[in-house]
Amino acid sequence: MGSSLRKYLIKLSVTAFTVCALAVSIATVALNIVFSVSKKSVILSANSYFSQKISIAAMFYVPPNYIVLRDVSVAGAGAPVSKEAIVVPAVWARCSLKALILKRAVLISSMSLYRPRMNYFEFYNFLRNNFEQIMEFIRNLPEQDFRLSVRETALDLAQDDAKPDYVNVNAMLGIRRDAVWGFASLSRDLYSKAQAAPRRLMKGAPLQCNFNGVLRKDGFSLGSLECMKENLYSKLWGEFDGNTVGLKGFAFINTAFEERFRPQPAVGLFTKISSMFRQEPVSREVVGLSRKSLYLLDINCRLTVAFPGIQIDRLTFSLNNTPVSLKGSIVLTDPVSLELSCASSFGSAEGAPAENTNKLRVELKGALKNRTFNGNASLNLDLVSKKKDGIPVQKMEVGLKELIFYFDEYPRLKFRIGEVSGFFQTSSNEYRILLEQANGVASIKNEHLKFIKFNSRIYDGFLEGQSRIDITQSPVRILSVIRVRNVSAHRLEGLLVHFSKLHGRLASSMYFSNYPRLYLDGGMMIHDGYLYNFEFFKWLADLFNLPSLKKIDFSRVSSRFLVNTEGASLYGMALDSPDVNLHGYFSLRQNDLVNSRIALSLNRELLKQSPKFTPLLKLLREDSGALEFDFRLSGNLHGMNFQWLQSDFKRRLQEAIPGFIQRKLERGIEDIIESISAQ
Amino acid sequence: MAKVMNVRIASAAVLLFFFTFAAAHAQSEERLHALAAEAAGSGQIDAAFMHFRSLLTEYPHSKYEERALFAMGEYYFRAADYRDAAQMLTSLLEGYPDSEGRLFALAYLLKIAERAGEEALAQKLKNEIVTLRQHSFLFRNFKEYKYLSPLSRKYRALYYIDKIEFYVDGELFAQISY
Repeated sequence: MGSSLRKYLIKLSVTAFTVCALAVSIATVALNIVFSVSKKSVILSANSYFSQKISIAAMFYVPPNYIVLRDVSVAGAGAPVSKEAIVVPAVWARCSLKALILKRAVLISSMSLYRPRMNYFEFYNFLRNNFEQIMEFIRNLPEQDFRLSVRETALDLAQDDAKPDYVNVNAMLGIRRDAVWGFASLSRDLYSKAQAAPRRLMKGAPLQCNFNGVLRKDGFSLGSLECMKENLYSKLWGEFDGNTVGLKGFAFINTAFEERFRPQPAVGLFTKISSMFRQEPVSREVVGLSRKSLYLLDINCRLTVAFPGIQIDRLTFSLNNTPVSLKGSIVLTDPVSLELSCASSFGSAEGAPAENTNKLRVELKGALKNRTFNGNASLNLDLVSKKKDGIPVQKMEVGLKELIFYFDEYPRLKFRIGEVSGFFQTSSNEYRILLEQANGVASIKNEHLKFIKFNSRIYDGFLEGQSRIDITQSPVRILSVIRVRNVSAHRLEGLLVHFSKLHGRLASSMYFSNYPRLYLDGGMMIHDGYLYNFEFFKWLADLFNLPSLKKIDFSRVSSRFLVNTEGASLYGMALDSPDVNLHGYFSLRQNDLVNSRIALSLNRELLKQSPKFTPLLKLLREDSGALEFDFRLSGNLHGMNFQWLQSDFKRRLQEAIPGFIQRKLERGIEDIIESISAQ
Repeated sequence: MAKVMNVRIASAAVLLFFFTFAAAHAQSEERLHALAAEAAGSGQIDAAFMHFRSLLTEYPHSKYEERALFAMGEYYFRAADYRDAAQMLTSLLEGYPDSEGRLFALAYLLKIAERAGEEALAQKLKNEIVTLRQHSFLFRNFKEYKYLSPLSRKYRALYYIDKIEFYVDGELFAQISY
């Protein structure tokens, strides 16, 4: 009895299972037929919705309640159309079986995208071209809980035909009633580029972001958005209210961070699956931020978003305790239009009056297209507070016109500037310079050292140079080598007024460094030119009645120069001319204090032209072809002291003339010098 | 009786002192200056200081104010009262920019700034002293400036091409190299 009952139950179970399996199989087959038939209409419907072509290789049902899409792709916006913007090998969507069977409606409760590949720029174009449609799609979604996850996305940052440069992205977005939360993990991994399909070789340090918030009828309240990396920690919170966005927060960034990669482990299937659900552990460095070097505190921004325009009504923050404010607008059209104005006050004690702070203002206006910025920029710096051994500049203005900045070969940045104008003001002088047709390349690939090569026209000559910038040090260390060729010396009068009296073609080499001491060191040489009405020689010409000294032809004028925080000096000065030779040094220190020693040699034939000098010539040795005239200058630049140094000629002159004549001459020279200084 | 006499003598002494002081107090600025100069000339520096002080108090805008300010400045400096010295000498420089004693007042202020560790002020004062006068040395090696102060001290400044030396009563007081 018992045995027959058991057999009956087994038979019943088998029959029920078979019926169920059959029913599920039939339902599966039926639904797959339905999906197969509807695939085309789904594609057509999607294509009518979005501006870029969407294709789906296969669409099928997997029990109990999954819809699987295979090889979903979105075509690129530009030519060639065959280029795919987004490729998703597999999309698993979980839907309500009850709604699917009874209501014949697809109500999706979760969706997972596996191993999507997308080009950042194509994806950006897709978002930009279909922004309104996407927003409408989101608005029309049924009000139900939803979860979206994206696994192992390969986001290619390369543009056009450049080599692939992938960022790996894992992300999740969850909505439950009004609550929204999510996370994203981004890492710049190293991929094998030899194969058609990218294969990851090394994993980069992940940037992890978590956020949570609450959906409101008129907007969204962002509880927190945290971003963490080994060298970064930031937190933002705020409100999205209609078109207005208000955010507050802070960020710590270690700029000396060196990106570290670790090998991609060879793992089994189980580990692979479990890793999909596991967040990468964040380095302990993030928590402690032991090496942070940039502090962005008190971030407070208010934006008005009227797509495609974003108006930055206010963005203020303190960067390493230096207050910065930014205003402007960004229009996300093609090209992207930018108009930004950034201002900062720095270098003063907290609470110091506004007039006692250094002020920096940077303005940028232009358009961004195809990773190229085209526009104008300006920088204004007012230095009020002066540090000991600091740069003796009080005001600096740099204008960049027709600036073209190319980001397409990042991390190699190229730039072209139609016109660079510079104005610098110290306590006593103003300096101006104009460069045209400037070109340069900045290589910022190295984490520590950045290199810039540049060249330009400088008036009718050429300038070229290169700089090395070490950003890991504080202050940032800059070392530059600059060469100037074939420029008319008198056109440099904006840099030094005395150049206006100097005619000839100038060549110069100089070295600049800001550490351990700020200095500009170099040399210059002018060939086959002339000095015209040079103040000192003009004075000599008037004093000794030697008009030919007003214009001195020379074969060569050369000098070394050094500019540092203590002042500026010309040393190793040499003027070679048939009638006049000059050697010596001239240094100008802080407060315009001069220290100079000059050896001047005047040809005997030249002196014969002077009726005043003729009687003195007999005091010169017969074998001496020139009058050696050594002197020192000191005191204030605009009222220099003068001393005629001892020489054989001076000794003979002193012996030849009585003391009262010497004193009369002395007074006469003093009057003349004072009259020249007064000019 | 003797007690009464003592009281009378004491009263007379007080009255005499009062009238003497009042008479001195009421003296003209010329008289006060003459008294100060006389005291300074006879080496009674403290008495000279008191007279110059009275001169400044009684006749704040007198024609001797310049001399009185310098005198008080140098007296306070000698007494190591650098704050009051600086105040007097600064008043002198502000009120009398063409004062004969300007160069030496600046030298005093330089010494005071150096003692106080005010590097920026000291540098500014050095610069002012260096640029105060322009010189040419054709045959001579230095130029000398002399000043006899209100307290009868002999000041001397020697300008060389690269340095300035200050002497007070023949002793080197300060030196500036540039």
